[in-house]
Amino acid sequence: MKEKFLALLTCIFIALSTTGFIYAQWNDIITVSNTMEFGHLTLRFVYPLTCWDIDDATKDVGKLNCDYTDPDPIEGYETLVVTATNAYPGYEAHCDFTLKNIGALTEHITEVIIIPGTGLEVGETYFDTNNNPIGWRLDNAVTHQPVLYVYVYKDTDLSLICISLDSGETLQGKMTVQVTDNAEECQTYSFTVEMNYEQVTYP
Amino acid sequence: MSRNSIAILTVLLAVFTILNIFRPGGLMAYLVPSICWATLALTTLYLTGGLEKISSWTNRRITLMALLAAAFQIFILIDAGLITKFGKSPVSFTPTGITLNLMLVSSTLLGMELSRGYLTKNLNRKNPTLTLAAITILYTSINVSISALINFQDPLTYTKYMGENFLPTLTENLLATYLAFMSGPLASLAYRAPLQAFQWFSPILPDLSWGYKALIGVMTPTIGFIAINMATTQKDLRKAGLPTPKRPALRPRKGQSSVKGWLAISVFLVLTVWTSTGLLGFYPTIIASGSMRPTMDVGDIALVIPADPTKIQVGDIIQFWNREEMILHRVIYIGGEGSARYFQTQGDDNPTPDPDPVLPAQIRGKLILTVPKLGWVSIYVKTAITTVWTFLSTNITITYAILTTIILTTSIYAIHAYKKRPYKHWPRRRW
Repeated sequence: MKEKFLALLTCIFIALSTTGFIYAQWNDIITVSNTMEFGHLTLRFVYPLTCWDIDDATKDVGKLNCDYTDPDPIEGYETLVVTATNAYPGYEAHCDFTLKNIGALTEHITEVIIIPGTGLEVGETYFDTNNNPIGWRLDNAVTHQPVLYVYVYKDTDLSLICISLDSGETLQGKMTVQVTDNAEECQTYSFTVEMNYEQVTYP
Repeated sequence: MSRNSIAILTVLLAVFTILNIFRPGGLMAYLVPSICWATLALTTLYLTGGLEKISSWTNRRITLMALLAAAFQIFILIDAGLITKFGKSPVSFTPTGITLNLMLVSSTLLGMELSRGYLTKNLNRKNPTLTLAAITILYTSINVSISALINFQDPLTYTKYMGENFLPTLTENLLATYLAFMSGPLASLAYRAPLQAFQWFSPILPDLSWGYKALIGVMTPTIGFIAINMATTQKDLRKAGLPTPKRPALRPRKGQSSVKGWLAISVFLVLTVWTSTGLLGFYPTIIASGSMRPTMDVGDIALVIPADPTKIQVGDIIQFWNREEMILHRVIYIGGEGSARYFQTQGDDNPTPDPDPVLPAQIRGKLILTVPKLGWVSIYVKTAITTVWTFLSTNITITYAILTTIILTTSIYAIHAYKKRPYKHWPRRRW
């Protein structure tokens, strides 16, 4: 009986191995996302986090909300959520966020991921002088008209990509959100920001 | 407790303290821990009496089973990754990176496992259960973040942490300690080294949700523990320093045939993996749409071999990447010359050609053989898994209840199996 049970388990295991691999080949499930947890390499958003807008005094209706989600049990958060409410063409807001290497080894940011919220899609990407992505245009997913410009950077023209952080080190990042002239009045736009990172081994 | 045990415990706690207080940057982030763990390893070796003594503890059969338990865990991880997804490892694969990681991982493993082996073999031999529990807790607390355990945030985050980090670490350490108890540090190294090697030196890793991590992290070491416990023979017990009765209390076990069976399964699985990933020169692919009817139907398996784009002709069926999807369609027209060469494709059952031309860089290979219907098994399994996963992810309360039940049942089963261990008849005997 025990042998039969073990044989059955083995068969299921083999079947899963085979089908899993073959199905992965078909569906291209193997994506290079680089966002998995790894004990010694972890980059997280931490506080302080501040947001403000440059609102036209005559309009003064737009508001930018920034907050972190997906808390890490050890420290910090995985995701930065940005929501611009009552936004109008020309509305501009800023956000200062903080990143911290809570792992034990030096790491650097390899990718800034902007995940558009409902009704938005990523359009064009803009690059800094080192050819690293620094800005993203978010378009209306239906009309494909540009509605938002999002810039994530360290300094005005320097992307966060390739910046190294030692264990425990923090990095102040900046974000600027601009509503384009094509956007509709009084709309709410949201998107999230995540970071990919990898180990740095040079001194 | 002997003076040697106290010395090793002191060095171990000193290493733990140093690594938690000082967090150096750059190269020192590798050098300081490596030196600390290497010091512990050397201290243990010195106090133990050298490699000869450690070798005398080793049981080759149990060490081999430890290696197989690690292989089993890695296979399960890969399987789970295929059901969910893989991600690129964040670890550096430059020569410097590999060297530094190798130094860090090997010194950490040696320090941990040599000291674990010594302490397991020498601490409180009167009560092995207490020794195993104490050493498991000690090494678990070194590997996990105590602050995360104490700083209770919200129930979900805490549950995630327990499932993702604490429980898998605890179970892995339990098995490692048991192996060290039965066969010394080489067995626990044989179990932990492949797992660490997979994490640190595999360029892609399964990107698992915390639920999968919890299940696999707890269940696979538990299965390994049960399997090794079941396969333990009277000879193994004598080798581990445990007394055996003149008349065996348990029926003889078929340890050798079990190992052969495991080996056969492992070889088969390796071949399966190689076949599936194209390492043997061809790629099997399941047909998931009817666009190539009647040549190929849904559920057929197509075998594709790598092909030189310059040798592909009109009428050939080629497999190519289209955005993030792999497509298998027939070439109906070839345009351009040299590097500007492109292919127009169309499914046999499609009324119109594919909108985008296929460039040579997109082509994976050419169809050589179709095996009818064999892929339905996979499609049914995938559909069933997707259905279950959708149900579980939309009914989070039921998911928690199932996870809790599985973890509890596994734990109870493991405790039950442990209680039935062969040497339970001498729990209080002085060895």
